Amino acid sequence: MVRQVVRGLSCYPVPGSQPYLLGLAQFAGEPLAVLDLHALIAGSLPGAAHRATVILGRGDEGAKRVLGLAVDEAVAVTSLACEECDQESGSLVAASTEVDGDPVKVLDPSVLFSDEWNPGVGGSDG
Amino acid sequence: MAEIRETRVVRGLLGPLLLLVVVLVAGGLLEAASDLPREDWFVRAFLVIGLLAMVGYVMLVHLPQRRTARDLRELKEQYTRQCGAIESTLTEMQQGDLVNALTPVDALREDMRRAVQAATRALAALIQQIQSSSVDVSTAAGTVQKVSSELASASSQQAAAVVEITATMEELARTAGQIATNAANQANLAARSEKAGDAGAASVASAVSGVDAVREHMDAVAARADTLGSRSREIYRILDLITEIAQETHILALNAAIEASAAGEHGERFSVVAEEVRRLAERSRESVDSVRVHLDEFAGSIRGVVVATEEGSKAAGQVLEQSRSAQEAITQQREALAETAQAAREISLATQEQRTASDQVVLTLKEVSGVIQRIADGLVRYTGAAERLDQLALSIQLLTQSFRIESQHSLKHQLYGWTQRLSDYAGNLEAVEGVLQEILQESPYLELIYLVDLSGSMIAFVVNRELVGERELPGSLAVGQAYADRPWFQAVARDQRSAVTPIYDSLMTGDPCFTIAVAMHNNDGEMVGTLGVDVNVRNWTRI
Repeated sequence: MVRQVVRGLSCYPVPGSQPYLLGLAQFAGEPLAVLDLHALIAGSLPGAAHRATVILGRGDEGAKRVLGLAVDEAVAVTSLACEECDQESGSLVAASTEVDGDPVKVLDPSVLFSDEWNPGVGGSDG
Repeated sequence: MAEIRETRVVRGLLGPLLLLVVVLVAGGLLEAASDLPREDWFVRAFLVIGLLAMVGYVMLVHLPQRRTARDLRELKEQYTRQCGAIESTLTEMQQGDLVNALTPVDALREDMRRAVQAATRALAALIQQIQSSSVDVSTAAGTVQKVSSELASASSQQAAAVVEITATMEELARTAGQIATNAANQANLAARSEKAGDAGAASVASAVSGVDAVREHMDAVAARADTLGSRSREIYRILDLITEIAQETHILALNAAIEASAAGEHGERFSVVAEEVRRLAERSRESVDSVRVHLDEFAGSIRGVVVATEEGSKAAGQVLEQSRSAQEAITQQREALAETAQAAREISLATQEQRTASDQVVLTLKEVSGVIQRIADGLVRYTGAAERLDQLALSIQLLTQSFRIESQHSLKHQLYGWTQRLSDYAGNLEAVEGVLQEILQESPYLELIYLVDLSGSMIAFVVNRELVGERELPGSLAVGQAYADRPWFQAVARDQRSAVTPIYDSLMTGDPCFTIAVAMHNNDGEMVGTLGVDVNVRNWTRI
């Protein structure tokens, strides 16, 4: 679940890592793996400006299992009812819906914490 | 003659003197012998005295008289011979033949012969000198005539040139007057321009001051614009700060919404507040963006103002520099105009003096033209005089040619020599024509040489084709034609000597020429014909 939104964190690249892994950042005194949303959704997009980092965490493990998701901008926080979404189980993009008339893709953060998850390169568009 | 006359007087007085002596002696004896018987004494005395008288007479009178008579006859014969020789000499001289005039002088006495020879030779030398001088005079007269004619022509051309120069000088004088007027006008114009230049210099100085003030204002505007630029940068920093605050607020609102969502129903009201805060942050960011856009425009304008003021200041500086250059140029122009006005005044004065000088030159040229015209008239008269002198020299030449002297320039002498050459070929007409041809080649000044018999009929003739050229010969020039009516033939036939005609125009060449004819004699001295030549005067005098 979304734990927090912070300004874009400074990342330190990890050699030999996947392209969607921007690197490791320091958050609340702990190392934090930061993933690139663009790379996850639409593949690599060099030069993208990450002005915000969304801190994601597994709800049952408290603050110990967290991930950073680098985004261009965090626009708003809204709650969606599941019946309003087109469900896609097993993928990062779990559903798609509309908010104020704009199409919105709904991600399933739990996929990111799954051990079997492998997005591959050029996964589904979002 | 005086000696003979003296001898005859002495001998005429000798007889009476002897009788007087006899009478005086007889009287003396009679007086001394008065004591003797008168008859014996008388007879003896008479006989003695008579005998003495007879002897004395024979010895003193008769014999001298006989010698005197013989001497007188010899003197008479000698006188007759000398008179004949002198007559012959004078006759030859009368005929102008100074060569044959020396032939009879051998009969004269030595001193007379020498005197006559000396007189004849002196006369021949004089004639030759006159002949040579006449040729020189003719040549000189021809040269003078040619030169004077050329000078007259040149003088006429010179007079025409002087007239043209006079007209040109008059035009030059008029032009100088116009130049003087124009120079005066230019001087006035330059003076006015100098005053205008003073006003222009003042205006430019005022403009320089104005441009300098404008530049100072522009510098002040640039400084203000620079200050505005600094203020704009401060505003940018403030906007950045506001933007950052808005972003932080936005993030805080997002996190508050997240927390409100996590709080469930208890957080709904808080989520509304968080949303309002987020919207407020959004509007703040939008306002900041709008302000930033306006500030960008404002900063752009400020930069434009700065650039414009810098360019304006730079342009003002350039205008100021150019204005100062213009001021300096106007100053120099004003000085140049002053110098131009001075130069124009000097030009005006100089051209006025030039006009005066030109007028004087025109007057002088008119006088020169008159002088040249008089010189041309004088040269024309001089040419006429030279022509008359040439004619006179030719007349003298003809007069000298009427004499025969031992000279190659004596045509008569030449003709007598040619008659001697022709006499060797008498009867051989072809040989005679050959000799005539040779003579013509030796004497290129001859147009024609011909031989006429005693009846006046042409025997042979040869034409000098180098002089005559290919002109057609007159019909009267032919073998067998009669020339008995020609004056030269009649003169030669009458005197059996020679003749010279006056100058006439040749029918063959048109040049002036004259004819000389001499009588030809055989070995017996009988006249057998006439040899004549037509002499071309121009070629003769040239030779």
